[in-house]
Amino acid sequence: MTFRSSRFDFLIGFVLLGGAWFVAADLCHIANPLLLPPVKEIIIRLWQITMNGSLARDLAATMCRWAQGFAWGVVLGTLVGLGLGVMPGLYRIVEGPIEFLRAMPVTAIFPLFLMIFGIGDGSKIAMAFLPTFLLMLINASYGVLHASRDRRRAAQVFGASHWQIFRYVVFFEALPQIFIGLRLAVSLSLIVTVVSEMFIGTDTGIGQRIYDSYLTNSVTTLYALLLVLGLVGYALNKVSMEVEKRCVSWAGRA
Amino acid sequence: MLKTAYQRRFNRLKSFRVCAAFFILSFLSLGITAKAATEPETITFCRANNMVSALVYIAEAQGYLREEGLDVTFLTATNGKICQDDLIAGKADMASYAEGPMTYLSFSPHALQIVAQMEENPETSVFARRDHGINQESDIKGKTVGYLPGTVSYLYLARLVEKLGLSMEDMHLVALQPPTMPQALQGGVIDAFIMWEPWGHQAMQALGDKAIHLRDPKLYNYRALLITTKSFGAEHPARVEHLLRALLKAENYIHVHRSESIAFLSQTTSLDASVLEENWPVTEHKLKLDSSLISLMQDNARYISRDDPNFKDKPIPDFRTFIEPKFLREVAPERVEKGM
Repeated sequence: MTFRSSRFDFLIGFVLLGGAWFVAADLCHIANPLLLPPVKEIIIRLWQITMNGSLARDLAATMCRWAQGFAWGVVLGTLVGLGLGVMPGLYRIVEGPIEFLRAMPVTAIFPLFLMIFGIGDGSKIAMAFLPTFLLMLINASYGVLHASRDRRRAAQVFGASHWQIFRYVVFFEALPQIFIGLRLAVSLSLIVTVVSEMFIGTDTGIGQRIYDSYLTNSVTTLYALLLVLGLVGYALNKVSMEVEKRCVSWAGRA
Repeated sequence: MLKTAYQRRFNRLKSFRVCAAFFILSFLSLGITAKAATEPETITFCRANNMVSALVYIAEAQGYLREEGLDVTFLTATNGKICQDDLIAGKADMASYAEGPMTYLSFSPHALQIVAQMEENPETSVFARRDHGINQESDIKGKTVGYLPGTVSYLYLARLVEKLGLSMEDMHLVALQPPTMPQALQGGVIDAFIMWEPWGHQAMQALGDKAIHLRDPKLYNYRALLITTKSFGAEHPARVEHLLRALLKAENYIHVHRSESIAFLSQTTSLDASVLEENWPVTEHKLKLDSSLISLMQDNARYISRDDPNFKDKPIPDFRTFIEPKFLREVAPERVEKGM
């Protein structure tokens, strides 16, 4: 038996998961509603928080913090990474501290950031910035260091300057690796932003609202917010994959 | 003749075997019964690591739990909500935490029951910056105030706002985690915060004369509760009663050995001894069940229903149905108010 693939295949998994949940919680009532509330109630709650504007407000606050941290991390991480890539001697000197920082769980640095940046948005943006910066730096420098030597030599033979070799050969050789870092950073920085909202606290933000819902035992709101957050993460990942596909269409080809 | 003698011998042997088997069986059953009688009754108990669990800590340290034949496995959590989750998930049989999480839970159907109140504590209060113009409670109008939603911090705030004739919109409220509050106050990000100890004490120590502690013990005292699941209470009433007896001994110890209790609790809960000393005269350590607990939880529910959109349309729960007085009545009937 063979299945014809379709562009909507990815929906089947969601439908099966939602269906199993619906049967367990809504129809058969075999799940404890304090742990797994009915799908119908979650959808109603989602509708309510959408219509009263609280979801949009919290989502906008979280995305704003995430976008600032992510953008700064991408720009600075890529620039520093490219710079270190073209200076292998310097890269070897700083490789140790960079790997040390990367190996450390970013949430462990949390109290330090809190002391430096305070409880405002600064600490949350910094928390999103750090993992993005490190991932971009490592991937960008790795991409440059492992750029094809044959192509560099070929460009040299044709009389290209150092700048031209970097701009027309090395940069494009490093780009697929930079996009790998970008895709990893999208998810990680979003996670860190939400967790920092939960840890530090704030006026508005999905992380704070999730924690409030947990503390007040508002389980349906908790699930509704998790559903939204999951969709946002999924959408961001899809967008970054699409951008990668378009920008580095040559990746993986010899 | 030969057959008869053989039969006699056989019968004697048979009798001997029967008697031996009887004695062996009796001995074995005696051993099993003795073992059952000495085997301790087990309880998995989740306790919040603060003053809410004061009596539990004392009962453990003084060996009262063992005296009552209990073998208690403790799970320690940083806040009561985690213990409540453990009870719901079936990971704990009993727990000690403040009435706040139980109030929120009671808006939904659940299978937990309150066995007793263990403590009434006034430590939740306002800690503010005097140099930001706050010298009395009413000065918080228009200021930035830190609090933690869903906890006794919010429940104090709700009462304070009502007492001052203000609304929640009359100040800029910022939801903060407890450990960040002293730092936020020190950094001037907020003008005041409402929190329990040790966070208030930390802020006061760091800021000195710049800070002020505003407390109204008549406004709101949180209640430390002893809670179990309905199934555990039904299946093991004796264990619940033994635990209550151990806690009664702990209560007596606290009253007789005040300074030792303060020193021990200060060490166990990481609360400064001076804070415990200050709060001790207005803290009531007493196992009891009375209607004031129901009134308090009903007030809590009313504030929650007023302020939290998640609970706007939900009816105020009947908290009487979540209290099970039979265990305490069995152990110390005078501690249970009539009509409970």
